[in-house]
Amino acid sequence: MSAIKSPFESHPPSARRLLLTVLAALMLAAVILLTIVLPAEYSIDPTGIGGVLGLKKTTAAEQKIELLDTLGGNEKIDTTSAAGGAGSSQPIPLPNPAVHQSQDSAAQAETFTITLPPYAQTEIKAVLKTSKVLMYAWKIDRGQIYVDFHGHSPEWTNKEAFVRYEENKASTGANGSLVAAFPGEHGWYWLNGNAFPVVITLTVQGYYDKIIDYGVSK
Amino acid sequence: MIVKLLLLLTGLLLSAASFAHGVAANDASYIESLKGIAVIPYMYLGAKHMVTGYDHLMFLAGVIFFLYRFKDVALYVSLFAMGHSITLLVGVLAGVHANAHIVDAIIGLSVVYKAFENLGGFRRLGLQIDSRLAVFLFGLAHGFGLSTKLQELSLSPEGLLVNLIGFNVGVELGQFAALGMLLLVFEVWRRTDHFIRAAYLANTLLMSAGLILFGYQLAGYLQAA
Repeated sequence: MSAIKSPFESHPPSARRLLLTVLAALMLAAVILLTIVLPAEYSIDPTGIGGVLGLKKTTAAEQKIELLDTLGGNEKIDTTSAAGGAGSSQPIPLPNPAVHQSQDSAAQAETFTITLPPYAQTEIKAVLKTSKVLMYAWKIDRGQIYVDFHGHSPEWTNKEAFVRYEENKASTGANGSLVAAFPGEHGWYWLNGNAFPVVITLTVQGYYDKIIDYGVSK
Repeated sequence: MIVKLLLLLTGLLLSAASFAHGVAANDASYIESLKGIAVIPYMYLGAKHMVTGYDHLMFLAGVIFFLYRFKDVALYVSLFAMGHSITLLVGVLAGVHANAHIVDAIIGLSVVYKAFENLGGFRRLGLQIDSRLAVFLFGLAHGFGLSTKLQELSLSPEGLLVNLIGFNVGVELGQFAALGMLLLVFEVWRRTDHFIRAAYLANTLLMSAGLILFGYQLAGYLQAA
């Protein structure tokens, strides 16, 4: 005894009808598989219809990966085609090749000691090419000082390339790093607002061309 | 219970579109983050798997398609639950690794089988198949599918048995919830005119859907091989 109460159990369809039914089910399955499921899931597109429907590009292997280009302060979004796709051992191409730079020599390093008299100003700049790296550390011996850490193109040839990294009206020192977004002079303007002289000790390291010391002025 | 049911229904609506057969990606990382005994989360995930696993639902729909009496529904669903519980627990605990594509292809075939049986196909071919045994055997296949997917995750061995039982209980609860909805739909549907004609078409479509599942998984297996 079977509990199944299918009306088609007691009155099964004719052999011809059953055959047609199975064929119809097979046909439908084949059409949906070939035109929709396989193109979308596996990029298998024997009919080309999946591509026409825009289904073929949804496979992982051709997914676009968005990468943020944070180098040089010029945050632009790069869309990079992933060669291998998710889960692949294939690396994706670097959106910005400059994130790694091979150099002929070790980085330069210099330390400057500047005595700034009361109400005097000075400026020290590192000349950097695009994407070159600078690391810095500076401090003063007493009090607080005005500082403007900024960059601009050499000789002010391009006024648009004038950026301020950090301004502080009462600083005692700062540490940090910089990647040049454009070629030019990148450095510090200091103004001593104290009634006493202040000694600034600045250490720079990196792949700069040279350091320009603009000297102390009132 | 009503709250749980509502949660399950909401889960079904929200995730049915994005949820393929397996354990959804964010759930996967959630399971992997669990350490020690976490019965309720595992239960929830088990229930969610059942309610949103369209292949299980198709098979279940095929099984109860022509079951009018509650007694029969209970019998067949119990057989199915027994089958998948055995393989789910044994599969994970014994570390039986099966190919997920093959298991899912068999699950697709289970849908084809059930639809074909509902259409009176075996009767026409003169075959006597014990549908209770078949439901039990395909239940084993469905449980294997689940155990295979659970094993792809790095489950914490801490409290694994208890967690698995929790998962399994969740699967049964999810099945009850899904079953409740299906029975409701069938109850209304059977009262309509032309139900018999619609039933023939529906089972033909069900068979086709099973074939699609089968082909999809087979292609996945061949591509991975």
